Amino acid sequence: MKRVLLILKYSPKLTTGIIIILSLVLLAILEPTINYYRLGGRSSTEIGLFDTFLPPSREHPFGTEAYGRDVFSLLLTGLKYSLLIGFTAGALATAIAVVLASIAGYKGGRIEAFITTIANAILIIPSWPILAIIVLFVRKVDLFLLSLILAFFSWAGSSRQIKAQIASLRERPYIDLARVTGFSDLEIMFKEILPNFLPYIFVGFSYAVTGTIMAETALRLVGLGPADIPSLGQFINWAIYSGTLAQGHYIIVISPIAFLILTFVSLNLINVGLDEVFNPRLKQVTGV
Amino acid sequence: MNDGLLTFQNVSKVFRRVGFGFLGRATVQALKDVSFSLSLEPEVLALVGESGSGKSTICRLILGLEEPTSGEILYKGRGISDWLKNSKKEYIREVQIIFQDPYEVYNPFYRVDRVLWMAIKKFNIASDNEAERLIYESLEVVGLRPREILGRYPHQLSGGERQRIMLSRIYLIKPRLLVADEPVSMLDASLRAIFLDHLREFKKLGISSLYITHDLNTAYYIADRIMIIYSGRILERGPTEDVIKDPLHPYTKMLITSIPVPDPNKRWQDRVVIDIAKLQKVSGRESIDGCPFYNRCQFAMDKCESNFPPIRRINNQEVNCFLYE
Amino acid sequence: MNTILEVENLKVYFKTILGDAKSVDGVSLKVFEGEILGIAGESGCGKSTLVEGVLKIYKPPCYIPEGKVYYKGMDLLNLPEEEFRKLRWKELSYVPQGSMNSLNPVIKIEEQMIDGIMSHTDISYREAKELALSALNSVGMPPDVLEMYPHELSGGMRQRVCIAMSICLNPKIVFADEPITGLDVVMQKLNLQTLGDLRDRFGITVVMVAHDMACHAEICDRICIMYAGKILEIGSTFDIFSDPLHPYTKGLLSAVPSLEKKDLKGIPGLAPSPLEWPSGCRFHPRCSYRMKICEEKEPILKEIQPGRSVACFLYGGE
Repeated sequence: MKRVLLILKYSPKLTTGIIIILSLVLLAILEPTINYYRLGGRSSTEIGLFDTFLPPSREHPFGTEAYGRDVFSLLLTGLKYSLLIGFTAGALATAIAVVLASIAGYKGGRIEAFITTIANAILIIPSWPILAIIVLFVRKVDLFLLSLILAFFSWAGSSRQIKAQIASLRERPYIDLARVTGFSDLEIMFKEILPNFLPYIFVGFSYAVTGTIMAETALRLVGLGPADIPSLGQFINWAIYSGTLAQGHYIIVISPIAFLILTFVSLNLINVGLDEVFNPRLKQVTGV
Repeated sequence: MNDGLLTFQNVSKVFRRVGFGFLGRATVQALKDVSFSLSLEPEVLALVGESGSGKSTICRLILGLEEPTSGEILYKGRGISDWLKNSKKEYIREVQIIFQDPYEVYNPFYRVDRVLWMAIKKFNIASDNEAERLIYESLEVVGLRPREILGRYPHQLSGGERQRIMLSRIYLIKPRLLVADEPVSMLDASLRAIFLDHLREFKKLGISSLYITHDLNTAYYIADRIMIIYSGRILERGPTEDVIKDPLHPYTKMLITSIPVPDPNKRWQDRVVIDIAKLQKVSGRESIDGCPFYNRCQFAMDKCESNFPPIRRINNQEVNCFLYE
Repeated sequence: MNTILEVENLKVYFKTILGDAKSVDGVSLKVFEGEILGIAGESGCGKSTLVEGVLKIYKPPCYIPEGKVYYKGMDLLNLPEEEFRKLRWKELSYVPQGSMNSLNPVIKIEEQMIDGIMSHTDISYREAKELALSALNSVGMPPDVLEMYPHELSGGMRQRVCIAMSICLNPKIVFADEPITGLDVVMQKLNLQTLGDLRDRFGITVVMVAHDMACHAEICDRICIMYAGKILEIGSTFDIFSDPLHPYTKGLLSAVPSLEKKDLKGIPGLAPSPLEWPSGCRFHPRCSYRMKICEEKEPILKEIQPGRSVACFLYGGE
């Protein structure tokens, strides 16, 4: 615990990133409660609840939009779904990446070549158009299926990183020591190697979260994906297609974008912070 | 020859590099026809060579971390591959190592005492109750205070402390053969002597050591016998005193005269002359059949280029050089 | 003898999450013109950091809380970075530790040397090449080396290229940090002799940082012994080796292995941490001559004979 505090004190970037993302997550978790009290139990996506394009006021901090819905409530709902999709897809992508990278790093040879080829193919093929087509043709896309599809296209990058990491860890003297102490290959993989790339797994995870939220938002902007999941991307889509910008109500478009940017920035700060703390070159100094 | 503790019989090791196109086909001959033997009597045998001479390959071969390309390595008269296949536990219990790098040998994720606990657990050295007492004892033997060590993470300890924990691991396991791969090269001078003295203690406990080093000085201090290895070949071997006071091979002589003496009254009188041919890194080592020292040797003869001289025995020493035919 | 460089109470600290690591903690030192000064000590004693501090080439989290460095009357640490940059290489040059691995393996030596020269002076490519050639010649390397790539040279030869680069612009002082560490013995000898030549043939002042006392014995005129961020003893090489005064120096010398003697004695205990140096004399926990005062008070570095200073209560030092 003391160590964790020292790390946080040492890296303001990491601390800031964690604080921002935690506040966003907290907002998303509290969304049902907040909206229940603000809207009196009615859904934030219900059309015509208020007048259209009300200016920001005490009652409506961000005003209302073209369909007469409260912007702040919509933002919270959108944030909830965007984070939910991002974290689900990110977790799935990371799980796929870790499993495949471990198998590749552990087995080597043909299996490694096969996994590497698939990973490279996914990295090279422009995945977003394919993603769009899949979402277009799959009849009923629910949140989990959408996350799964997104995950499928975003595990390759971090799997490559993790595999490189395993390859470099495998050569360390402490692996040799474990071997001459009688550890089996599996023990070496899970007890000696795996714990040391936990920070990298998290970095891969946050990249995957960023990537999937972005991809999902992009899908929504062109009008794809399940309409019953009002994510931030969906919200931007509504705002744009209802002529909000043309009428000069910029805040309605800017606020969801700002939430997205805040999410990306915080995840990125965490990545940079983790690198600062766990980077072997700097380790001597940080002493973590 | 089979009655030694450890015997190398014409061991060669070729590394194939996989890599870029046709260049990647290159092979590196790390060891060529290496034969030597450690006696059953506990002794400290020093293997002295420069970086890239193949001395670390010997270490990895003994531990079974690599396999020889040809030749055989026998431990107690039985091939190592057989040991590892049929009685691996016993073998690694009897043949242990101290690595060069006291930093990288610890998994940064765990506390340092884990290396001791794991040794006890994996080799069934003691019950859990007794284990703690043994760990305390073994740490005290190497001059560490257990309270300051147990529960610490590797980065919280100095290189000297970490390398001593490796020593205490050996005290715990009490192997029959210890391979010490440059154990003091990353330690401060003031700690080296103390560390090396433990190898002597080990000998009294019946543990033989193969002390691998680039430093003739420390080899002279600790070893009973010395072997000089150069570019994958052993060039000279014999009792320490004889090899140091009366080196036979031109390479050994060059090594000895190049070592600075810590006495300003005995500065070098001669100068190293650079030969332009020597500027180029010695390459093409893989195809050399002759003496590997050929292109640096001032006594080189024509036959040295294509033939490797057989072992000559002169008094107690053995040398591979045509000068002594 | 003229003093060419003077260091006054220099401190170089590193910020860490556990507080300041006081790597160099108040070092005063004079370097005389045309000498070879050896800085000796064990890992973590601050000898490399001292040089980095003097040349102001440290990077954060390293900083200098106090201290002065005078070169030819100039206060180096207060010099604007732009001015200091002009001094480096031209007047004060530096061969960093492990510099043989710092050459770019895919760029010809010629280009790397000339790039270096031209970034520090306004001369033509041709003149720069002349300088590079004469520098190589000075360290006994043939001109063909310019046409080679670093990977074609052995580590020792690359190290010589780095030494050559350091003297291209005819500096007054060359600082060499562990110039022979990691080289094979023959290359060690060759490179040590080359460093000796810099002074003997070209009159360049050399400051050599090395942990190996035997190297100091070979070429240095004076040696300064560092321990735990402080200087414990300074004296001529002959004095230090024939009559070491400080108990640490004595211990250090009896721990140096040699083919001439078979008795080695280490210094018991372990080196302290720069995060928390021991109180009083920093060597006292490991010292066999320790007295009560050593734990309480820190001895000062005191000149006890001309050219011989020691920081120890056995010789005054109060």
